[in-house]
Amino acid sequence: MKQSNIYFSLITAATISLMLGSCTTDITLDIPAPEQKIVVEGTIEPGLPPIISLTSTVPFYGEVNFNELDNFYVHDAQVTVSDGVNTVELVEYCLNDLPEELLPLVAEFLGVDLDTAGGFAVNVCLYTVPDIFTGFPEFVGEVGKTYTLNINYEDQVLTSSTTMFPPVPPDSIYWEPHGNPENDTLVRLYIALSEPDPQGNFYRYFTRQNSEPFYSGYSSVFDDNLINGQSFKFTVDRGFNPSEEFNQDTYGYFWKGDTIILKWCSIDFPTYDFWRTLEFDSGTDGPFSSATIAQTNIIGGLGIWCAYGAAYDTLIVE
Amino acid sequence: MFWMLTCSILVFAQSKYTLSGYIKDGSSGEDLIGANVYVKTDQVIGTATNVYGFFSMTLPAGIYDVTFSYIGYEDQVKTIDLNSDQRINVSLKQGEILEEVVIKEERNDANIQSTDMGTVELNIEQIKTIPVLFGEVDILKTIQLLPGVGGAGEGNTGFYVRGGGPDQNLILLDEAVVYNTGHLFGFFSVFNSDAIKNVTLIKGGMPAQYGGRLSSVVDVQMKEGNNQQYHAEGGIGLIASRLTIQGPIVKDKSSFIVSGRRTYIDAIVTPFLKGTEFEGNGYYFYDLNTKVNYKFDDKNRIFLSGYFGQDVFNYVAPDNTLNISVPWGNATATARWNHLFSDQLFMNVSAIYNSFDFSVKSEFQDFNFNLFSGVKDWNGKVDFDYYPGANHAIKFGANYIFHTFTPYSAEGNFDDVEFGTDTLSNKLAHEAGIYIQDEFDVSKRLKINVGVRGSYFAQVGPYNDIIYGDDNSTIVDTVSYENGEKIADYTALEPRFNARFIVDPQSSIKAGITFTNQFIHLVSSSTSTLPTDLWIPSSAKVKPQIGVQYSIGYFRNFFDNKYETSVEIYYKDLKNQIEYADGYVPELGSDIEDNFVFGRGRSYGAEFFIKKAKGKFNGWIGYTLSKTERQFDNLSTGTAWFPTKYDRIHDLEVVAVYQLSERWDLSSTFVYATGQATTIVESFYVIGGQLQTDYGPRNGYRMPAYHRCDVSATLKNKPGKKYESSWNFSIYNVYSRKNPYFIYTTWEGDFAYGAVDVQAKQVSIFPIIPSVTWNFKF
Repeated sequence: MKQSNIYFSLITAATISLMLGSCTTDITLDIPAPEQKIVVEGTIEPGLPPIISLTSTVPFYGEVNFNELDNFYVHDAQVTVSDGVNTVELVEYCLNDLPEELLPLVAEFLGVDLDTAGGFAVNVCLYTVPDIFTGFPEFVGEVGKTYTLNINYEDQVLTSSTTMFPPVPPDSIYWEPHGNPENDTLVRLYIALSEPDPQGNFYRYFTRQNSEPFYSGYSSVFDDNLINGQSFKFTVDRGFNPSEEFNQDTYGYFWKGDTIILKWCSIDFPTYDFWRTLEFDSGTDGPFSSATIAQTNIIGGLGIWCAYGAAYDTLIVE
Repeated sequence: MFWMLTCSILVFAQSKYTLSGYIKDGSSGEDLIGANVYVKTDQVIGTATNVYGFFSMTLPAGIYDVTFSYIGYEDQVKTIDLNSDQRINVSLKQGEILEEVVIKEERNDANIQSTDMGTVELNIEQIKTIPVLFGEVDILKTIQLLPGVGGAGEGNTGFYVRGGGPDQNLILLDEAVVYNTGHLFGFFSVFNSDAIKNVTLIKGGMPAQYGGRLSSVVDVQMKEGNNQQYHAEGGIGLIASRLTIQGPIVKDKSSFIVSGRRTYIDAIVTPFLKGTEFEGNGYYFYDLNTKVNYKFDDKNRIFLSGYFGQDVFNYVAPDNTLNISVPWGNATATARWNHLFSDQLFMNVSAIYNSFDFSVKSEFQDFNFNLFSGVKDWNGKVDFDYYPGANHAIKFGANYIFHTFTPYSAEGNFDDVEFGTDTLSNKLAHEAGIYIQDEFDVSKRLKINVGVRGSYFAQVGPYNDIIYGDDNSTIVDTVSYENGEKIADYTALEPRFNARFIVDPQSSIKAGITFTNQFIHLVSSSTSTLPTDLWIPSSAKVKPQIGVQYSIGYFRNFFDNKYETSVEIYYKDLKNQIEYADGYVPELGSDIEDNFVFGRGRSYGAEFFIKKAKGKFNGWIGYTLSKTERQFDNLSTGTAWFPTKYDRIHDLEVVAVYQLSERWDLSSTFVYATGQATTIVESFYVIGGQLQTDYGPRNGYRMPAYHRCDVSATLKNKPGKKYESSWNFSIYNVYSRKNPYFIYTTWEGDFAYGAVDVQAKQVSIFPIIPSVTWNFKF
């Protein structure tokens, strides 16, 4: 469990206290132009086809408009996914070419709330199976299988693999009121979980609040080092919409009347390691921390190719 | 080497007698450390007192004018008819500090005469004149004003010696190791200057009596307490107040000192935090030093000393839903027995305990969580000083330490379900050392200090060694070790050699080679020492760090030793250096040593030093040109050498003190250092609809240079009053330079909105800070 983050937040708090009298200035970093790298974000879930986004790193500071970046999306790459027996070659779809009814699906994958964002600001492109529009694609995720990803783009070759572990559905999910009776509209989400033996299971969670997409929490992955084999109750933060203004008082809480869907996924270690390092790096900045390099499982690029052994549970807060 | 030692001892056989004794401060009875005793025949023959104020000198029978001197004190000359062994105790009178008249010229060339290289002794009174942040006198900040010593960052007590990390400094308080020297994340050191007598920094040519660290020794001695009269002294400053009481228990035989300090930042700041997002935060630190000594007779004396200090951070959420308390601190206790076997053989036996503990206690609704880590040592030590003849000073001894390291351990409960890190256990280790060294004159010009230290280290059970699978996370096996069973052990032989060659009365050349091993390690992901830092022992996976330092220096004094100058060049070769792996995330339940990678290090440089020690106007200028690099096969840098965060290419310090009048002292310091090497964000990418950062090469970017000027003025009350009182006015960062503390990257906008604006920002923490402190003594 990532409770160790408690004291790191403390240090951050102490740093902030120290910084009360400090001063922050904008500076220009004098650095040579770094090389551009390909970034993979791909998922596969039980019963769902692989979906992959291929983008490039943005190698500069200043204002960046993703639509004006010629090469932000990596187009015309050759992308294949194999489960060891069957192989499928993915095709690229861009948002501008898609029918309206498919937009929510894409929004879901990208974690974009179409209501608040008022539609897509960027012409998003994704790679997926060619028979996606049939509604019954042939190549979908199955528990227990290992999926290999191969990408060829110009003279670059990127590879990765990920294993789909069996879902571990929570025994139940429930809510508890806010500790302060004055905040009687806020509630916290709790999970009761029977963690299976042996040690070595990893989890990632997402929550959906009403019609929003699934969002992960700031600290979304767990290992079972401390809770292996135990029946355990714990609380998780509400998944956080990155374009939402951060509010310390309501962060992590749901509201009375919410319909909550918890997506609780079994993941493999490389997936766990990627999200753990990525989230730790995003969460720390300052003199008391050092650069934590997100541990990608993509050979030849950045990003993550992950299989989610997902279980879903719904709770209506009444 | 032993052959050389024995041979040179045997040369003496004629009728010689030993003059020995103690040198003390006449008014307080405090032992004077490093005081000089010398006679002038056809050449100057002399010695200096050890840390207990003891000296011994063996000379051919005869009548001598023996001079006893100590900086800042009036010389005493005694005519001694040495026709039998004699013991005398000398009390020196404090003179006007740093006045020219007091100090005769002969032995002011100690820097030329001694074999010491890279060694600086600082008297606490000297340190007190130098301006400091918030007026809090701090020995660890003052030593950063010496060449070869780099500061860890703005206002920080952490320091790097000749490119070595903070964990490579052996910091001793009355012989007890102080593992974590900083209060408030390193902004203040744990050493309360009122309780401190003397500080010695050894940055190269470490004598064989010290072991266990690669870079340096900072040996801090507490005051013993005045054995003549009762005194109280203290101060009231912006951040903290201090009070010290000392006096005789039995006059001339026994004395005590108690010294305490506490901050009141919490009291000052709390009202201002109400209603802000910082409401509920509280912080304070305090420390307490105590020491007593008892002199049974001229041959036996005991000392008991102790230090206890704590930092406490607490947070209570305004709505009471979350309650966190984070105390951490050091404790040390030292019991020592000095015994004189003869006029030539001095012994000290010490029993030492020291510990550092860090804990977090939190309550969140039904969820209780406690986290703790620490280190604890039991240390036994015996040291002998043997003075067989005028030209020999032999030291030998042994020491043994039993270490207990507690890695991050946690326990907690949620309702009635309990959990904890019971699969991990403490790490236990034995560390032992034995040494001998001799300093002797080979000829009138050539003096040699040669020594050797043998070290042994073993990690022992009980311990459960957890073996991970290929994914580095799934446990595949656990190997259990019995109580006392050896898990891994290491032995090392560390030769030490220093030589001095007198070129002419004003100049000498010195050279040295030092081999060192370090068996316990602290790998900090930050730039300074933090309470969350974890010390770990060498084990099967973590090999001892090994260092070899070569140094050579030219020392020359000008104008009757008024000006001391030196140039020292060093090269350090370091093996088994430790860094965190690229994707390190601190996490409970994982063994920290599994997150380490190992590699090589090297550091080389030249240090230039010019000092005016005497006169109304005194001070020094130090400049260091150096380079410190590392190479780690298992980091993203691969076979390339990269600069460490301890690397400062240019480092300049200027310290000036001016005694304006009897009542006014002025002082000023200026420092300049090449910016710290750091890893910065070079490009960005989008994952999960959020902007992520991709880093450039490790430590591939230099922050802007660090420079700063401080001034202070001290106004003393009129002399001749019953009490002393002084006001210290100081200004930190006079021209309010915005020195970089750290650099971070931030952005506005979001991928969902199609555009972001990415900006690098620099945080500077201390602008110009004036402060005033009132000190008193009666």
